[in-house]
Amino acid sequence: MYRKLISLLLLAAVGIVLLAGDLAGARGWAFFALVGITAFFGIGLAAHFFALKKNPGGEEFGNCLPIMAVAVAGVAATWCLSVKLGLNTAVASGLVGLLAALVLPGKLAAVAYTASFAGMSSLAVLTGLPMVICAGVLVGGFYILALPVYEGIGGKLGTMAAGAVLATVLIFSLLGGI
Amino acid sequence: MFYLQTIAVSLGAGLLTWFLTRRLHRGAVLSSAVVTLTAGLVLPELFAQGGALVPMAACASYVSMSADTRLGKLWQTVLALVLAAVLYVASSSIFAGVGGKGGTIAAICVMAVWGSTRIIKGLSKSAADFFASLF
Repeated sequence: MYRKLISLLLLAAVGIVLLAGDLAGARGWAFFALVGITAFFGIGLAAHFFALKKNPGGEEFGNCLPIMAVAVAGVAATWCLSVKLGLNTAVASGLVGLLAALVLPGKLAAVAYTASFAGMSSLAVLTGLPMVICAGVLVGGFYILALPVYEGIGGKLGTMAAGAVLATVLIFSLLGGI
Repeated sequence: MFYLQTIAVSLGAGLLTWFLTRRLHRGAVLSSAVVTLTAGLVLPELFAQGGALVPMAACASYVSMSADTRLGKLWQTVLALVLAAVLYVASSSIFAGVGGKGGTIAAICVMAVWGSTRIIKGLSKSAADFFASLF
């Protein structure tokens, strides 16, 4: 249950940070629309929490090494395509996702696609290869941790990627501050 | 005008992904990747603001990757796509350059629609039970 709670908190934290930033800058009808979305997002999270509590379910970790390897490769490939070769980030992610879907088995293709979202980060966010590798490892870790909890939710892969990128930035800013 | 273009792109990309996934059974990752790649290549050539709308198309394709258990009906997917367009425009200055922003927007909208549907279903069932007990 702790694993599920931590995974749900990741989704909630990333979502709430984004919504809080939006609400702070919103005016007029957009503000009320965002309040509504935030309220229903909260209701959805609460409903999901109780559904998870009711259904303990099997928690499969699977083989972690291929997941980590594919995650690091996916972030690095997308980041290099967009930052080094100058491709549009969506094109770079789409290429990596398409290749992964055609070549890799289903679960690993999803890992590669998740990693490609993290690789869409700009040079200002992921400034070099060490950050890219760290983001890849975190994407793999979050994927293993959170996938059963996010089952069926569109955007779960992107949320894991955003969480991994934000955690990478936090880690490197803390390391830089030491 | 930008809102209308954004909603149109969201609905177009999202419904195309939905069709590829649910009707042609191509798999969520492949369908989303094809739509994202196509949007990245085509949209900048179609509109002056096309480049700015590519992430919206990608975000919409993520919404449509949802399973039947979350967005079972087409209208739910359409509602989530419209909400995603609103949130995308509102989030233009948040998470700038952070990969996964589109997916986060998609997840928020899917959870919002799924949560609201559950509430409405629960309320309508309670109301039906109440009226059934009266008559």
